[in-house]
Amino acid sequence: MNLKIIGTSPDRLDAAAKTTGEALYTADMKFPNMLHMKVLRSPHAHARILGMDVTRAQKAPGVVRVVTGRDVPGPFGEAVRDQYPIARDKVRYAGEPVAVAVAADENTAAAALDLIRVDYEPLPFVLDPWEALNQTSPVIHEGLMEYKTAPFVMREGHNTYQHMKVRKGDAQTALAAADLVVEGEFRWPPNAHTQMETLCAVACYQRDKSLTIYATTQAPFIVQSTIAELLEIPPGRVRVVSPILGGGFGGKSDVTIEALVACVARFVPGRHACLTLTREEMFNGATHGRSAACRYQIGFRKDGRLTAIVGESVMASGGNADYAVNIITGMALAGAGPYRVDNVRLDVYGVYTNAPPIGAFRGYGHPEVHLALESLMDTAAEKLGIAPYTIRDYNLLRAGDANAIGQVMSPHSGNVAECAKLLSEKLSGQQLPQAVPHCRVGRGMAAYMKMPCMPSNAQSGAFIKLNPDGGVTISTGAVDMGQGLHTTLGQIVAERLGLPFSKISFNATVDTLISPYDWQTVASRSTWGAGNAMLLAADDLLRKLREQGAAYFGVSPDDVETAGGEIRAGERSLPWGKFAAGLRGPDGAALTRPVTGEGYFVPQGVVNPDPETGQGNAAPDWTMGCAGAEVSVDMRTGEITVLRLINVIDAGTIINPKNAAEQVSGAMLMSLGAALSETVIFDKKTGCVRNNSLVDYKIPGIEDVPGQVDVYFVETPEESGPYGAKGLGEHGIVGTAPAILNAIYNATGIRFHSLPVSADRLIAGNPAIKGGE
Amino acid sequence: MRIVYEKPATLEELFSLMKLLPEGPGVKLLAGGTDLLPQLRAGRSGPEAKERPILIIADIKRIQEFNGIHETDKGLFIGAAETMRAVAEHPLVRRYQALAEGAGRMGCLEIQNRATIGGNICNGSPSADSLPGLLVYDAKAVIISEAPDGTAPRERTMPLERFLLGPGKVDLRPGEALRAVVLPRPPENSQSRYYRRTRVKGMDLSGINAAIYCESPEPKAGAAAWPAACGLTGFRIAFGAVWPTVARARMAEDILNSEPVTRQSFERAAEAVLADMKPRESSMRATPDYKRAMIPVLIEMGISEMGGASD
Repeated sequence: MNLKIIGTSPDRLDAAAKTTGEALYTADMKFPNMLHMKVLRSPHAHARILGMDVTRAQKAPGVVRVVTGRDVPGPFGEAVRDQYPIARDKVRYAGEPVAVAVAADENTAAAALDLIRVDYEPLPFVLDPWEALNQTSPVIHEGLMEYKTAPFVMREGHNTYQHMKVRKGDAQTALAAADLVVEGEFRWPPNAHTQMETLCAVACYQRDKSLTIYATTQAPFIVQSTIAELLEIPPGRVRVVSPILGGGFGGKSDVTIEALVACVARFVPGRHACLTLTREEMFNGATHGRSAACRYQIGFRKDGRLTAIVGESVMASGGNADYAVNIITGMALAGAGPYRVDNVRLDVYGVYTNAPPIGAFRGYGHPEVHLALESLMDTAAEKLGIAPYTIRDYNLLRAGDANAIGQVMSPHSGNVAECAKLLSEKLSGQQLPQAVPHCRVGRGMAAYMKMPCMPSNAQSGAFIKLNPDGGVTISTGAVDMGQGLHTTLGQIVAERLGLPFSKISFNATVDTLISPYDWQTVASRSTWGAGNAMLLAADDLLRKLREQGAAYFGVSPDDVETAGGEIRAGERSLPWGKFAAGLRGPDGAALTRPVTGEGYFVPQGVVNPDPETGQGNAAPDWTMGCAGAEVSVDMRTGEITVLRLINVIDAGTIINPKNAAEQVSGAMLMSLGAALSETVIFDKKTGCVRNNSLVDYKIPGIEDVPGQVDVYFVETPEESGPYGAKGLGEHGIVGTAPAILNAIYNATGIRFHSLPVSADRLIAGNPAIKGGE
Repeated sequence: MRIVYEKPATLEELFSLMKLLPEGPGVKLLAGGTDLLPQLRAGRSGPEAKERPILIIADIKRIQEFNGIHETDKGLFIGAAETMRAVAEHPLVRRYQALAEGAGRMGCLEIQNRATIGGNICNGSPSADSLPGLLVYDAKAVIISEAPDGTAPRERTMPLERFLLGPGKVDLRPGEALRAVVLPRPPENSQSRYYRRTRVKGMDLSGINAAIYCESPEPKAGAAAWPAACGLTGFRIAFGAVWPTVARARMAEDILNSEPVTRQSFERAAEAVLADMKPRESSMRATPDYKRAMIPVLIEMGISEMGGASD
């Protein structure tokens, strides 16, 4: 195939608007007489609400309305119906909304919160995942077994809302027979998404019982259906608009503050009401990610062959579960990593805890299990006297091998062995830097694979509208949250239509009343899913152009050509643009209709995994790769400096190499933060988040970015993807943290089992240093 | 609470704003505002703000007396409203290396351009980046207030170390403002270093910080370098986030200055700090154990770097 635009890196379509500050985000939406909301949040991690007095707040000057949990419907939820827009009777985490004040301005609303009296009866709380799993821990959702759930939810009661199993071969017997068993527990604490844009929603409920909500959402259609059901409004009357999004990373997927804002807006009909979370509220009033513990035992033959993986993992999901059910699926289905292994037994539990809820976070369960797997792979390699690359190469999935859930890899599934080989060459191709005094240097690697965790029919849609200048405007239901989606989709469309990229324009806003359906913008699925929909829409546009050309020229559509932006029938031709609004004959009579292409894509043949064994064609594709890190550790101060990060990824055909490399390196840096400095810290006495700001939730600064961050692509075209492409937005995060931990071990001989590895912990773990343990 | 912003042009205007009546508005002095504004936003601005209907924010930047970096007969004068960036880059501060380094490590470039040295001191943080360097140079605090008879303003000068009373507390009485710090001129053969440990290399607060000052004798030919030997004398050491205020480690200084520095005396000096330190147990920036581990490390870094060690 002779491709002109695929594989090039044109400037991003959104670059100018975002660089100049002209791009409009949700918080920029201002309306006449707009009201503002402030949320009163629970100071208790777990408590019964005995009573509430809002009369003083309600009477305060400037306050329009105070709304409590008793005023609003609930519960709601897509997978487990366990969330209340505002807590009713009980609070399940410190930070859960208990009342909302609506006033003419934010300060008045905030002052009104001080006038609300809530009587709580504090209850014992639980934060630890294993403790929550234990039957003796406090019960967080007494009604769990009665909640409405999606069919794939396998709850066990107490705090366990999901238990997902993977069974293949006879893992216990294989483990007993193994020459070597390595084991350990690995923990990834809760991480904050730390998007630049905090959550915001502006809603207006009108007396004709319609609701418009502008929201910072990656999932406008999920928000639409959830609100429609919650407020009992026909979905066609719920207009969810997702303007330009300032970063998502999963923290704006599913339903966040929109349910609360929509419910409260109903009490001030005819007026727009806005809620913008402060940065501090993003730490107790929004979802976090990760928060998982994984206990793994892995069996090997003497020669390094993997024979068995047995894992028990638990995710501490916070005060409600809802869509976190699907993260459990990710942890289970990817729990054996990119390896060929005949005997697998994985149990993954989702449990409630008294922390802010855990939701989607770039990587979706995969980084958590890879931390355990890839750390133990290195331990096994060392014990068996095999190089880290060699032991991985020996076991990596190749075409014809079945993965842990029984999917047989085909040649187009991706070449992880080639990724590992290239990574190993790149990592060792450069001399290890000379250690400066007191410092030790080391290297580590980790292989990975990730699938899009999504409903088996996750749909994507696309519209392409022809313009009078012969260019086209693309629209999709997928959200551009900074990942560069419109540019990538524009390249796919330009390639298929044979237009120069400059002829592509895009509609940045998703509007559920007019945009085509798209499940949600998550799971690294949009280049693949929306890209496929764009191809179908482009073909539809070309077909209609031929039809309209045939009508105009009076020939058969088969005799019309569309190449080069011209509609051609034999010797006669007209530019595409002439057909945009329709053409007339010499007598003025209309001959053609306006031309718009539409396309819808759903994955084919994907099914739910078997509930007892996890087996089945549950993943439409896997993106595989290998991460590498080189670190320097100052043994006096414990300071860890990441010198190099490398990622070799097989994400099929790369549509836009620059954009793709930025996605992978951005994800790697997010993983670096998790590996070395990021964690949400809870007060053990109160269960409150202690570090609810960027002062003490430490994300890396530019100074922490390694001097060398390299991304390499192995491009095995994916059969089901547009021009052979598949997802890569999340994958850089999956292997990077374990690669850094392996590098730290390689440098220091200290094996860390949890994140983040701070200088504190490094010093304490080093018996050679005074003051250590 | 209503907030009123004022920007007095003269000391007289400032003092008239600061004449506090118990039932009147509260007054907060603002220089850079990089600590004050987040505190106001978080509702942590002290009783004078919370319990009064009006809070006056008096911006002192325009008042001449709070500005300037220049030599005086008592030493280097640094006005309280000078920015951290100005302190970090000023040619006259260069000789006070630990101070210049501390000011240059604080926050990020944008914050250094806004934050002032007076604010950094008066905020009373136990880990303020400018303080270890100031303390090892025996800086004096110059405190200004209105004269009782309304003539020339009154000034009192005190050692900066005593000006620091506790976390968030400094020795400013009602009607007083920190005008400047004055650093006595150090001997030509003196040098200093600033060290801090943070969780990330990017913008962060110090988990522990230190300034080490010493004087070098005439170099002798063939003299061995640390750790074999060290001819350094006149040690002054200050730590942040080790005690409730940034403070001098005099017990360690005394040991190091009483005899030629050897590995044994260095270890005893570190032990003396360890025996005296009172780190906050619940710090999220560094655990007490980590601070304990860093005490000898930071002192030794200073000795070895300034003693010409090659390691």
